[in-house]
This record gives sequence, C-alpha cells and structure tokens, in this order.
Amino acid sequence: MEIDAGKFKLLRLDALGLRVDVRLVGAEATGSEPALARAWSRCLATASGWAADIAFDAAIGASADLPKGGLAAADLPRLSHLLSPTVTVGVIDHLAGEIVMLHAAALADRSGATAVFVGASGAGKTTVCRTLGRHLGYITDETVAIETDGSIRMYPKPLSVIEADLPVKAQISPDDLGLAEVQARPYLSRIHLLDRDPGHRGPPTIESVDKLEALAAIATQSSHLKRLPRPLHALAEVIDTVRGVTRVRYADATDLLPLTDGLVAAR
Amino acid sequence: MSSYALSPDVHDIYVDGEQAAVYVGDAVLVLGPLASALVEWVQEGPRDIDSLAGLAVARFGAPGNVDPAELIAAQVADLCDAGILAICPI
Repeated sequence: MEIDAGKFKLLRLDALGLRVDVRLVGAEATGSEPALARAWSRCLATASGWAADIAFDAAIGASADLPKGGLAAADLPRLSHLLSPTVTVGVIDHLAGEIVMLHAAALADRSGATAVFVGASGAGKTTVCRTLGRHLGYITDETVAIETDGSIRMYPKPLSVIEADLPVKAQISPDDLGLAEVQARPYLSRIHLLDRDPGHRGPPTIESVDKLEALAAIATQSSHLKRLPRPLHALAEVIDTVRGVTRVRYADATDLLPLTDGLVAAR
Repeated sequence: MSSYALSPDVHDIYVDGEQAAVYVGDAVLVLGPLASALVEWVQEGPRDIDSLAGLAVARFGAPGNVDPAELIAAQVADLCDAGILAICPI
C-alpha cells in the first residue's frame, strides 16, 4: 500500500558527510519527530536542494505498513535506540571503499586539532566524550571517517545513556549533555588506543605503540577496511600523519581531565 | 617437492623494517623477520622449501644445530595455517 505523503514527516540528517532521509511514518512516529530531532540536534541538515544519499522509513507500532528495509519499533525509546545504529550502518556501508573509517570517538580543540580515541564497543568511547566533551568539541562517539588530507567528517550523533526507567539506552543529544561544539574544521592530530582498566592505579599512562602493532589494533576497529585499495598502506598513511599511535591506560575517564590538552596536542 | 605462494586471501602486506603486517581474511597479523622474509620471497613467485631455506641462510646465516630446511618447513606450515601462504597450484 502506498503511504500517503501527508502522513509522514522527514527527519533529515547529515551523517559523515552523507544526507540521510528518515521518513517517520504513521501518527505515533510523526508525533515523535520533535523528540527525535532533539536527539539528533547536531546532525540536522540545513542544506537546501536536498537529494538523499540514504533513505528509509521508520514507524512506531506493529501495524505500521512499511516498505522493505523500513525500521519499526514498539515505542519511541526503542525506535530511537534502533535509529542510531541504522543510520551508522547505512552511512558506513555507503562510504565503504572511499574513506578510512574507525570505531572511535573524536574530540577537537578550538583550532580543530582532533584526538581520535579508538576502541571496541564498551571500551569507553561514549564516557570519554561525556567527560572530555565539556572542554573539547564533540565530533562523534561512534565512527570516525578520516580523509586522505587528514580532515575528519562530522558525526555528532546522540549519545547512548543508561536511564533507569527505560527498557533500552536513551539517545541523548550532545546539546542536552552539555558537550561543546566544534569551533573549526576538524583535522587529525592524535590517535589513541583506549585501554580502560578499572584495576589501573595512579594517573593515566600514555605510551607509544609500535607501528605494526598499532596497524593490527586499529585494523580490527575499522569498517570496511579491506574495501580500500592497499588497505594497510592507507591506514599506515593515517598513522604517519600523527607520527605514531599511543595507548592510553586509565581507570576512570575523569582521570583523563588533567591531560585534556596533551591528548589533543600534536606529537 | 611442493611449492608455496601467497594466498589469495591476503588483502595487503605492509613492511616496516624487518617486520611485516599481513592483512589476511579479517585479521591483521604481525610477522617476525624470518616469516616476513618468507612472505617477501614468495611474492616474487612460488618457491619450494629448499629454495626458501637457501635464501634464509643467505640472509640470516645458518641456524645452530637445526637443519635449515626443517626450520623453514615449520615456519611455512605456520604461515599456511594462518592462511598467508598456500601450496601451489592455488
């Protein structure tokens, strides 16, 4: 059945430089548009003459009549929870073979110098962003796309936060978490491997990582790396840009606060 | 005697000094100097164990009380297990 154009609202997002149209279908989803737009406040598209690179439908409720590939959830928290990975997977699949993409958080100082924190899911990327992001501009807590000239694409998506009364993690706008905005075009300055260790004693340690070890570690935290021509060489060029990778070992993200400037400053 | 070549599952090899990182399948493996040299030599064309042992002795010197061919055969077997080398014809 065709969906009546009058029965949906568009959520238009700019994610990693791609234009994403999310069509919110049905009364509940369209009514949720303000909440979803708030969560994605830093990714809302402002450009005119829009032609989407990626588009999909999203609805709330089991009775939604969605085309193939649509996203349906029982309620707003669950839809919001599903929307974030759906957008992320959509854009990284679209960019496969075009650009180096890492599972990483990224934060920039006022000049645009950007520290990239590489880590698997659960490694502490979101917590680092919530902690250091009050002082450094928030770029993303999920996927960092690095151009060959070292510039970094923006993806300031909502952050996943555990809230006691919700069945899934809440998706909170960086604006509502008080995270700073990026002030200048971000460019790669440092790459850190996140190594959160609750048993670590004393201040954080920052140590250089052998280049090949860094290649191996970062390759496992990349997206579609093998789709790039000469993928290890592409990654090695990124590492050379920052004169090597460091491993940051710490017990709690707040321990990193005194090191904020040093984590971003070029080596 | 079997000859060995680079596996088609290898996506890329990055050399840094005497060591190399090999992207094979979904993993990146860091190889020591001898294994890196073996990978370097088979990229020039398929080679058998004796040929590889000769090249290894020329570069690294003769091993102590071990037959070079046995040493290389064990190393080649490890590289085959890792999916980096394959027996010819692939």
